[in-house]
Amino acid sequence: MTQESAARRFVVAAIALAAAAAALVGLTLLAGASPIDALHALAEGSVGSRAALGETLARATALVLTAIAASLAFRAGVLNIGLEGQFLAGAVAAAAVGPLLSGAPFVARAGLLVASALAGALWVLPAAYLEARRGVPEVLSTILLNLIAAAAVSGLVRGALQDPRGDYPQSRALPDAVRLAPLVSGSRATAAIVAAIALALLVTLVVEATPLGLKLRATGLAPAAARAIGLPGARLRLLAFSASGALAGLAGGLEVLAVTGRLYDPFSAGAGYTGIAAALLGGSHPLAAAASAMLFAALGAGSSAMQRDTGVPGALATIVPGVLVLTVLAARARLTQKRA
Amino acid sequence: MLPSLELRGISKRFGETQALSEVSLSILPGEIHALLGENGAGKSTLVSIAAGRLAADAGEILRNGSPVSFDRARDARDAGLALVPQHDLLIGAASVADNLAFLDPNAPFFESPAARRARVIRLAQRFALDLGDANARVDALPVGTRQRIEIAGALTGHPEVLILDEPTAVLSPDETAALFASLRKRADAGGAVVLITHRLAEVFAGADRLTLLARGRSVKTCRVSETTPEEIGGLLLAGAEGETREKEKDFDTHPSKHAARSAANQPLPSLELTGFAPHLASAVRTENVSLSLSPGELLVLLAIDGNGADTIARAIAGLERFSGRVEVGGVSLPPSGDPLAFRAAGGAFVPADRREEGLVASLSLEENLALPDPPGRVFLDRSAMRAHAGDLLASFGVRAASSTALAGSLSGGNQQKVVLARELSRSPRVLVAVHPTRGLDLASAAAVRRRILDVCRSGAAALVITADLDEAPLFGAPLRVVTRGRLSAPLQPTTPVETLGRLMAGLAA
Amino acid sequence: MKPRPSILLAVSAFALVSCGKSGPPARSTGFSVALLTPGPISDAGWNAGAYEGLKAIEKELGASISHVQVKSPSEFEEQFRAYAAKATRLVFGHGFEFQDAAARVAKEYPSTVFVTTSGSKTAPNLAPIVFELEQAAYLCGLVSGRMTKTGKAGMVGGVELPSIKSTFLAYEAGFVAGHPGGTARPVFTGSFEDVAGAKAAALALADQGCDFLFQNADAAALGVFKGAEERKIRAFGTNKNQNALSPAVLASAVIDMPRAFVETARRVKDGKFDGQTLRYGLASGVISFVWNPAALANVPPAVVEETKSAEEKIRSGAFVVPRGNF
Repeated sequence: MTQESAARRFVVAAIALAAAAAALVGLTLLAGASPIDALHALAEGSVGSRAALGETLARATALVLTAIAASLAFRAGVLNIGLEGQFLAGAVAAAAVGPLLSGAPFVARAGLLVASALAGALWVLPAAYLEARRGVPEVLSTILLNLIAAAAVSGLVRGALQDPRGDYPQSRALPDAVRLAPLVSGSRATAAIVAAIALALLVTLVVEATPLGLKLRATGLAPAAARAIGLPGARLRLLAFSASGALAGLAGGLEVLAVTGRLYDPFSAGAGYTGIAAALLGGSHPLAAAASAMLFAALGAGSSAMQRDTGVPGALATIVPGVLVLTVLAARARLTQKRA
Repeated sequence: MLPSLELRGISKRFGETQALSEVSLSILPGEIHALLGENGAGKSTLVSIAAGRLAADAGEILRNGSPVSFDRARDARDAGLALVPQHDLLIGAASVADNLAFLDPNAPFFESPAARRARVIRLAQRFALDLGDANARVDALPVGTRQRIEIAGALTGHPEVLILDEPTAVLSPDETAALFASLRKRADAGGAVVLITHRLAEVFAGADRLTLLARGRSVKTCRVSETTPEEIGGLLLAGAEGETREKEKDFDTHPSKHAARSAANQPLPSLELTGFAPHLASAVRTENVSLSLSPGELLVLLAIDGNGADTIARAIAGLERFSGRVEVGGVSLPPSGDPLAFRAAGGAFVPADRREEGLVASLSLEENLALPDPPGRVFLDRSAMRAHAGDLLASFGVRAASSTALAGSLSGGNQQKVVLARELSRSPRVLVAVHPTRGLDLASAAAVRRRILDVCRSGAAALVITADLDEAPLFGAPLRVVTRGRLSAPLQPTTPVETLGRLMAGLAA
Repeated sequence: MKPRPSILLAVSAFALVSCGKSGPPARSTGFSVALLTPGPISDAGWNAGAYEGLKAIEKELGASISHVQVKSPSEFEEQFRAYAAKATRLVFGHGFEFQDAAARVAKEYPSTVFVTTSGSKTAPNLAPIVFELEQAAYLCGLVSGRMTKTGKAGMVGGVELPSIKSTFLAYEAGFVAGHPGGTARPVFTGSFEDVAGAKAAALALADQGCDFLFQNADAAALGVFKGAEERKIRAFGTNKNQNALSPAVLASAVIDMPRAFVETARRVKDGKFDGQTLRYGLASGVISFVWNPAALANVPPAVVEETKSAEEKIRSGAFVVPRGNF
């Protein structure tokens, strides 16, 4: 992941957005609906009203966190594809710890989020160990850990974590007092989005403006040079890897705390994978990745509206992030070729 | 007579740096044309444009008098132009035989491994180049061997115009002579050769004409017979002077002055190897080495690439595993290889491959120079980094637009200076430097030698590895020649060059 | 410089969006019904059945309909809220997992009715649909009791869930009514997919002397049928009409999901929705007991008659089938 100039990033983003819009129009026509209605519903349902904006922000919370988690790992040269699993680990921890916590809501929330972040960080350890000691690429091990986490969620909501009331495969509900209340009534956006954006800023500062961040970037950009120069590459990678896992775990915890209130199966619609896509779109710059995550959240909220209002399958709009990321990667490769 | 290749008014800009301004160059059939210039003068950029690997901002290219434009390197190759780049572009994970098959435009699509191996032997004999084991993976080979493979690959296509970017920097004297002989044969047969080099002796022994670049402009083009090494040397120094703040006077320091100081005052050696041998399966087996350097002492290892000297240096620096014992300042280093332990004990290392191991190309100069311990408690102290970088860039004469320029945007020679600046600025206890002056122009090379002697004078021990026969004595320090993993007895810097050359080639002295 | 087609496209796309501001087709006039499914409606099962119900509501009640597939639990509330905000009259959440979100949103939008398929939460504008499959299970038990020679019946379940155990309770009650002193023993394989396990359970029960097998094992039911075929005993289909799957199947206890949706919508449209759990049994036609025509010849006419009269009593409410408390 090389650093890019702002101008180049803008050009790439513009090309990608155009391609995505074109794909959406084409697919809407294929589905036999009016692209005008569809795009209008998409816009209305994502940013068209205060409620829609609230939905976009509520969806964005998890995505912003997984996007900065991905960026942090990528910048240090760690291909953490396991954000989905770390997200689920965080959610499981929240669902396990949440109902047990008592006392002031503030304390309970803090305890829950600490547990989630720890669970996310712990979930990277098998992959980190296998990479450091056995040379297993973290891409492979983290993908497998994702599958294990999904299976574990499925088992836990039917086993150890199942709500004793009723025979539904779901965990116990968090007490209402602990759950985060909406910032504005009638909207679902909670303080979690504010926390996510604050963390995006913090991670940006750490990566771009601290001695540690410079070391992480050097390790990610040129591992051989970093090693020869005398940077503790293995330790830096582990640090970035577990911090990335902690952020993803926190995302899972916040999802339970602010949105769902319980663990279900399946729990995630791919928040971890979307975070990776957002990081790719943002060139692994944490703030740009967070902005991309917002865009994906808006697309998600908008595509639901599109399906509600026009009957165009919502899956059509989920093609958009894919088109965006592919176009960005292709455009970047093309620009790089032209220069070299 | 129409020129085989003519470049007219070529300009190219990289970000803030104007690399070339309206450079013209014409190459006649049947000539060896030397391209000279200080580091960062634009030599590599110019030949990359000629070979279709870079697009010029302005100017035109003519082949045999008619304008051509190359969208891809392939187009240039089809037009009979071959470039051997300064840094090879071989496929690391493939074998020598496979790489040469990929480089041969006439190779059949399906070819037996035996036929591929036969090509390696054929090429090695025809061009008298040591290409190593045909089955070896290229990424396990030393830089020198890789460069020879790239040269052999370029020659397989029988290009009309052959461009070589500093081919002799990593070749032994015998190989250099053989290369020039084969280049002369090509020229006599009507081919044209462009040769980038820093070695004036080669130019005057083997080239027909020369073009001198300075700061992105062509300064002089003439027949070699119409000028003298002194004139060209003077022009080169003048070209470099704008940035090099001190005049190079007696860069050949007196040998005895330095050697005498060694081992006198301090009993504890700075660097001590006991029964030491690097563990690297694919490299030349190195015999157990024992040597000891006291503070202020300097030892030059002279070796052609691929003889194990580089591996010795890398293992000391903690980048390879080894057996035996390495002590830096009395601290024993772990045999599993730990660059951090080497650094912590006061070691500094200048690697042979500055692009892979020396610098982080996509970070700025000031960021590179701040590693591995960037200043600042919470946030990076950018102003300290800038000041530090400014000092080092000025004192090492690095030609860069600013300290925020990306390290990768610098020319090879200037990158080398940045690596040296970073390593020498740490006041190391032990300096291990591999080819510290490779790719540097004469003035810069002299300055680097002087700096290495300076750190020795201030108490550091230094182990310098070089493949340059002419340079080795200039340190004025004891020499040991490494051939096939074996170290010769210590030699005085006054040893005749012919003797050293015979030792390097593996012949009896 | 060549014009960039992609940029032109972007401009035209934004132009399209802005001239579309005239508004989408009006949807919220009249009776409007929406459906949230947890999966794709092309699954030929749980979600397809709900969508079929929605289409039937459109056709039979003239409602304007809308459907959205919910991709994760985080969206439940968002989707309910979006429909309620558009004054949709009735919103179905197709699964127990929609309860929490529905309850939350129902408080804020009293004029919209929220219905979840299964579940237990109720409010003046919120209720679950409960399928009284037990009524048909009771009839299966009654038939088995009348026809058994050994006085023993077996019941094969997937996972030991309260809803599964409840149907077994009803089957057992029917069996004992048909054959006083008879016993019906349950076996749980622990999986709704393990066909081999279900078959092994069926064989074991047959070897213990059971000559009728009831099952509630979803996809694993096939294993029960195979086991019954091998031992030449009888089995029953559940949830869907499984009569065609095996000659061993004597009858099926069937749920007609689309019908439940239509009945619910009709109730809301007619203003008869009262916030009580929506129980659908034999009387509503949502649950039915269907003989396998291929096997009917082997059933004594007296048993057919008795089954019919028992069904009448259940329909009329004269007889209440026992069910589990969950």
